[in-house]
Amino acid sequence: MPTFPTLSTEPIDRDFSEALAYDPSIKSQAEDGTILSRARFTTTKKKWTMSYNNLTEADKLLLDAFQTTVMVGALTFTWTNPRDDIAYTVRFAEPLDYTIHPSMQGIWLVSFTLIEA
Amino acid sequence: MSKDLPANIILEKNKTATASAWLILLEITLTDDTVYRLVKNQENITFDGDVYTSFNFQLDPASQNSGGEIPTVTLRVSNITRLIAAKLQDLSGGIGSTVKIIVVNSNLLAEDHSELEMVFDVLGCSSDNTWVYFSLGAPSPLRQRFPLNRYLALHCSWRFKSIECAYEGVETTCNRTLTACREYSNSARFGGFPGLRSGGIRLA
Repeated sequence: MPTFPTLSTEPIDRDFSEALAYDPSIKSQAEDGTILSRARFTTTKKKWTMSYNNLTEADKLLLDAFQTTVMVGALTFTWTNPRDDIAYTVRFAEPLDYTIHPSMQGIWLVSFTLIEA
Repeated sequence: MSKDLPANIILEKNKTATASAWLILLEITLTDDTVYRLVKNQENITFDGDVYTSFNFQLDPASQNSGGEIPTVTLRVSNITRLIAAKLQDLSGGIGSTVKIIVVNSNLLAEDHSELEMVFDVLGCSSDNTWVYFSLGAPSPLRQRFPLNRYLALHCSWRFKSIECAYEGVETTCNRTLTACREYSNSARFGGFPGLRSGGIRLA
């Protein structure tokens, strides 16, 4: 299984978020307000959203090559969460979307979401 | 029709809030006896000694009308990997396969869920890039063997070298006649009923 490449920079803290990828419960509200609820599945899946705001050209090439290797969301890969150092099996939620840094030449910004496989 | 469910399942069913999940298990038995066991869940489930693989499928509600048609259920199974579609192409669409649907509670997998089983016949099948569509219906009585057994005088009912035939000689084919069986010195195991010939003895 491929491993997320090591970049020269870390994702920025203020844009890093972690949440469940979906609500695993199913609910039904009766007319009197009573809610019946149960789990839909036996596990939950997480997702992480993060941004890098100072990717070098080399980092971007590395990410581009990795995105091609895993064909965006086709192949799962191992990613180590920089916040807890736990390795997760994840896939990209959508293609990477780069924007050029508004004031620093040769620097790129990218944000993406990883979903636990 | 009322269900005779175990007490634990009834208790779980009646809870207003529970962390357990009611899972749908599929057991698809194709006409070549290939069995796919799938569960609509995000991890595999072991139920009754069998492992049900986490898989994406959808059960669409039964369509019913007043035209007297037999109600059908559409089962959509993910075709992303083309695994099942390729198999079905080899089996002429898998018509005549059976699909068993079992509803189980994830916290009570050791309980008896037999009251929550339904068995359907595959009446039709189609596929596209995303799904394989099975049209499921009640087992057709017209496909049942009737009468259950046929009694032929000079034609053997057993498959050559089967357990019933028990032939262990060097011959590789058999035309399943009494004459051939005698030539193979196996007529004691002949699977026909020579007494049914005219002039034979029949006891009814």
